[in-house]
Amino acid sequence: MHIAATYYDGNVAIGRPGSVEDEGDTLLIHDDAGRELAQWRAADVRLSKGLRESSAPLQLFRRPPHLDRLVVATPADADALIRRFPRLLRGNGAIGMVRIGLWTAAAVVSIALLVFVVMPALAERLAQAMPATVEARLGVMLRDQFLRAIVDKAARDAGRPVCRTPGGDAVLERLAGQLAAATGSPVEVRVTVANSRIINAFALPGGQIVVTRGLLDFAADPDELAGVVAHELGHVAHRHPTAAAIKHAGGAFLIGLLIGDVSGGSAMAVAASTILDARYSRDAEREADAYATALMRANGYDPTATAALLERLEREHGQTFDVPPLLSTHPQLAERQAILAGAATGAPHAALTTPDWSILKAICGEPTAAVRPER
Amino acid sequence: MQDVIAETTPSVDGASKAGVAYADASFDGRRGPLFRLCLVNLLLTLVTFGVYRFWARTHVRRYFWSHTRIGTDRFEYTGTARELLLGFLVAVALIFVPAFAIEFLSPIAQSSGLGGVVYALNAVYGLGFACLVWAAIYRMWRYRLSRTLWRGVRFHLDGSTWLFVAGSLRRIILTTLSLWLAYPYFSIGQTRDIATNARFGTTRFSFDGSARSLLAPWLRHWAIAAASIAGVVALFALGAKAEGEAGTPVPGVVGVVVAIVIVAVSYTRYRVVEARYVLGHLRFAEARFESKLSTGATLRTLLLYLLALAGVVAVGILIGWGVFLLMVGALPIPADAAARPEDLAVQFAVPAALALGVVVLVVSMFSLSLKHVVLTFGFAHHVFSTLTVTNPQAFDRATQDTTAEMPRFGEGLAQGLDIGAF
Repeated sequence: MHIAATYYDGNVAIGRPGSVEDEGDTLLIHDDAGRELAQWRAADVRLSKGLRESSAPLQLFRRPPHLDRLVVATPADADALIRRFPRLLRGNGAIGMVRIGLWTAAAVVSIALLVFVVMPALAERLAQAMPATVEARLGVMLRDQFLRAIVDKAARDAGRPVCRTPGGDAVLERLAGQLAAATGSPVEVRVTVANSRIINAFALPGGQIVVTRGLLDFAADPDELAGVVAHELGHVAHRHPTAAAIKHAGGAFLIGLLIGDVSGGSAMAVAASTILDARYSRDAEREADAYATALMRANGYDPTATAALLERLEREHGQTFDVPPLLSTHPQLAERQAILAGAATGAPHAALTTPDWSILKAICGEPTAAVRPER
Repeated sequence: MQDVIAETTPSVDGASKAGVAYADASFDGRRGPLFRLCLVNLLLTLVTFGVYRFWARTHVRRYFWSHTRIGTDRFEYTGTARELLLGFLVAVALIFVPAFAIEFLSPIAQSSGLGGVVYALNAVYGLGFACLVWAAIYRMWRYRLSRTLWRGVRFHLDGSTWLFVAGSLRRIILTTLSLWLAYPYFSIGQTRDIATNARFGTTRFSFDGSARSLLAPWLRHWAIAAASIAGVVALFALGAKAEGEAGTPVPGVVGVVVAIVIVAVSYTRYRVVEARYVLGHLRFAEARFESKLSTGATLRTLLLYLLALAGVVAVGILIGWGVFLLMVGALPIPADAAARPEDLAVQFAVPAALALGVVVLVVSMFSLSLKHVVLTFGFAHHVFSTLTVTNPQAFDRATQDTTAEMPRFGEGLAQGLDIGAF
């Protein structure tokens, strides 16, 4: 075998015309005068991968740190060389794919670890460590964003995203104050009524609690509402909302990182992190339920009221509940009813007087107070 | 001697080239194989949750580098995907995590009554961001040159990143103060900083261009742009006046489109002139470069790219719409849904967000392939097939710099900031 080739010694930028011969497992490279330029062990030789066209010249190199190169210009010579050393063509892709697979697995595992293990633990610690004033600001900020998302369009257009009356505000403040007093928590609780037909209640960082007009309308008696507020107070006491906010932001960032396109994938990442959030939140819901039951009992209210409300909610609204099923982070209803109903005690008294309850029911300015039958 | 160097008597354009050795540069890639490479890259990037992008980049660079040659000698890209991955991780740890933390905390600081502080910080942050972009550009060049091999000899970029950033800052401030009339001062300064710090082996490149020579073409573009903007403003002023007399807004829209086209063409023409000038004043010992890059070819490539991009956006919207419909179909919609449009809006929010995400993802991924196959390919083809090196024997004397310090990983900043064509 005698193949014409140009040799670059990796030291001086001049190509030397010459030839390659094979001697066993070695490529012998000579210049045109017959002087030996180099000996390459065939096992070290690689084919330059950038040239993909079949008619392109072959460019051979050795593993780093070697910088000498060999160029076989004519297709016939290139074919002859490949026929002699077929393994030059092999191994170019296969090893690469294994490595890519390993890196991918490593990246997915480490991101998953970060999202499912490190971020929740870190978020809980950070939430506990967050100064109360910062948490309060975060709460106000998130509440305003949140209201924008859930308030009815008609209410927003009317410039009334939040239901307020002087009397209603006072009743709400009293209810939250009574419930919170039993906890001895230093967090200042603030209940806002969102002008939305959705039936739900939410806890946000810094003691911000949002209940919807839909929930106020749906609640049959003060204890049902008190139970829901107590449940949200449970979230506040455990700082769940703050931890969730940190976890959401961190999760979106991490998934954005994996996808690589931080700006482009972020919309998907945010949605994905909401779905990922569901499992963590079920534990939190159980904690909040237990807390609410204790709180209701301490105040002498009916701890089974929330169970009744949830049962009616399922009967009347089915599985479509209050938020899209994909976004719903509440535990299975049957499970929750079991926890809440198991807490029944004797001699409960109502959380609000009848006049106060009527004032609160009218906070959104609609004639809904007298519609529900007495229980 | 090498066959690379043709001792010519009648030179190609018949100018005073007789007796001067020259070598033509060329780019002999083909769109088909590059497109297939990009499709495979896209597929593997999707399958590996984006991890493959480092390998994808490396493969595309190898393609472009090894299909570019001066005379018969091809360039070789010796960088590896692992170096890009490492660079990305380092940049994430040092820059993007703190930046993200600031982003997350600044609204809280703002609502804490620290608004003034936040505005001041944002201004510093913005300037710091611009500095980061220049640092990324310089480091990108340093990495790429150190991974570029020609005739078995490496390129290098010396000099300090932070000196380059300081120089860029000084030039951008002066250019802005001149109302951008002195823009060539900025752009030639940037080029000079990089070109005079670049080496092939142990020998340094030099640059003998001056901003003054580009002032005339730049001022022409500046005047055209200023006139176009003034024209649009005048058109709208007239339109506002005519509004009372039942005028239509159509002339205004057409005027804006025409103005954008005029400014874009004029700017492209200037950039081509600048590219020719910069290449023409780059020197390597006695070797010089001459470019015959044309505005027409460049504009054709840009137009082709815009058309292809429009196609991809259309396909992305179709796919996103499909995803939306599929997800909405899977949702349980209550019987009285029509009576409660607001509840429906809430139900549709998640599918709509996901569909939007899909559209953005499809467009951003496919547009990268398009960018390679249409834009980068077209530019590489035009730039190198119109480039001639005179006295190429100067490169024969270059020797490998075996002591130079090489960056161990690369382009983290540039990747994070999305700088660089590929």
